[in-house]
Amino acid sequence: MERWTLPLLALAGIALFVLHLALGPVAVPWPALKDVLLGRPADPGHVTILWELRLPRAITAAAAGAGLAACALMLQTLFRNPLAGPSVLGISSGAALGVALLMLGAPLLPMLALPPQLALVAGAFAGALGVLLLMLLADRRVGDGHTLLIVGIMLGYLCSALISVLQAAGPPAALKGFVLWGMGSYAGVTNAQLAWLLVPVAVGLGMALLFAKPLNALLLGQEQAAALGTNVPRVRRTVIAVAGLLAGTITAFCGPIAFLGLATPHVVRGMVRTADHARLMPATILCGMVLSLLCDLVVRLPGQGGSVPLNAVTALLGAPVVGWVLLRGRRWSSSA
Amino acid sequence: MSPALLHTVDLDVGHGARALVRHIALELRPGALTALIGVNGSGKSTLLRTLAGLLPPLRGHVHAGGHDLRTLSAPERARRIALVTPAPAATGLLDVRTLVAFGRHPWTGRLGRLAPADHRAVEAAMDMAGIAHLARRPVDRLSDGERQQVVIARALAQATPVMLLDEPTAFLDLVNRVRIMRLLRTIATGQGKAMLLSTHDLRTALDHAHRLLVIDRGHAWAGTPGEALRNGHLARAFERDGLVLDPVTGALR
Repeated sequence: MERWTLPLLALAGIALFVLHLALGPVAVPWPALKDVLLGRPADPGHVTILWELRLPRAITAAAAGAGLAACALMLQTLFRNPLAGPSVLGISSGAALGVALLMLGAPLLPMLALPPQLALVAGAFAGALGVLLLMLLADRRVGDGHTLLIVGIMLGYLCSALISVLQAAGPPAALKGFVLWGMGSYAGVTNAQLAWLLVPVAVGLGMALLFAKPLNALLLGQEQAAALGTNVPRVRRTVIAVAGLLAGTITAFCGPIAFLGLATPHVVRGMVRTADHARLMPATILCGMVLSLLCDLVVRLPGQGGSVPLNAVTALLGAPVVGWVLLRGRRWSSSA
Repeated sequence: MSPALLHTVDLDVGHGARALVRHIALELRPGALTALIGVNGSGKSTLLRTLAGLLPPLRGHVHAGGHDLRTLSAPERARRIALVTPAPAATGLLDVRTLVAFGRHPWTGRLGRLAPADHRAVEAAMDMAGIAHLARRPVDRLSDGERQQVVIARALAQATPVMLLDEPTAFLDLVNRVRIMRLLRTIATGQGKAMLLSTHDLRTALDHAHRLLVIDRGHAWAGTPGEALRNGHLARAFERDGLVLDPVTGALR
């Protein structure tokens, strides 16, 4: 099982990606799908549906799942807490606050000199980073993982409260867009915007893969990591920045997505049965893609009137995983 | 006598401005096991962390292999000095070999890939610590004693001339305490390592250590166990609240 994890996950990812393209209100048969993707002459309706709607959405789903999962794994190791994740530690809420400031309070901000996509990413990144830095300060003071988690949840509430204030004061037209954004969706990213999502996520994933060694050292605790020659302060700063970049960018484009990041590393630990990041990180990235595509496929299930919001689907998947982790948390904290 | 692998010059250790132990002149020689003895809060852990370069000295210097620790980079330091602390680690899901291989971090590149020489060092370390048969076992399926052997193997894989251990026998039963102390003494003499370990277990320290470093009210004294018993250094360090140290057996009554 362990040897086949990566190939199996990759295969599942490809299969789901293709399903994602083929299924929908308009089913695209396999030969037509092949023609469109290979650039051969095809039905113009199919071309539009695939290139303008389904392809960017599938790519967004894969990138967001991979990024959130990698982000969560880094945070779980950094805070030595199995329940850490972008949505739980208030990081998504921080990013949402950054976005709300831009979408609802935009006239106040000088950032409008930037292209709107960059401003959105920058706002979400700043919000995510702000919460992460506060969490780092809290981590130094409380030291205990569960207290820290509660601090994170409180920070999340605080951000949500500030967002509510902004909503009450903001222009009604922007409000509707913001509320829809808050339910989470992979549908909003157009081809033109895709690069703004993909480049930061690719950078973040690359860094996550390169950081397997220092993340492994952090498993032993900061002191032992330092005794093994790890530059702990620098590693912590870098991990925080990368986690903020991933969570911030993805939240900016897809809304705050609950549980997907947090749950994925646990599913992967169950499959590869190790805490070694050299093996855990690639599998987590692939598994994040798979689960994210799967969730969005459920969102897009054909034949129903209204669709289920993405956040409801990810919570349906993620909440039981969290419960399971709490019930058998012993393995995570056992010492060596 | 062979030159010291680690020595200190007029070293003061402590946190912030407050010195816990002053004027430490310590020499750790190859093949010698030194036990660091003192009551709780006397500064044993602080001293070990300062010797490992994780805390800055308040005054004075720590030299390892002819270099002042402060002139060495973190990986260079980690190739000379291994430190084992009792901090809990989130390593339950790792198998023994993977965890021991973390000891190669100071020697491997950016990605932590293990070269053939690294693999040989890991196997040798597991052999020496007597856990080769547990190589594929997850760490959380080990007994406390085995887990301590794994941590010692990790420090051995680090291939440092100097090994510092903070309370390696804490939380162990009597049999395992003696087993671990024997193992450490064998490693020190067999591998020519300079070993310093802190312990609360006076009896096993007196039985197994070549030398003692006694910390008493801010001062450090070094000598053989016999000297420590005869000249009253141990007695002064431990005789509190009417307790008396038997100068022959080292028992506290």
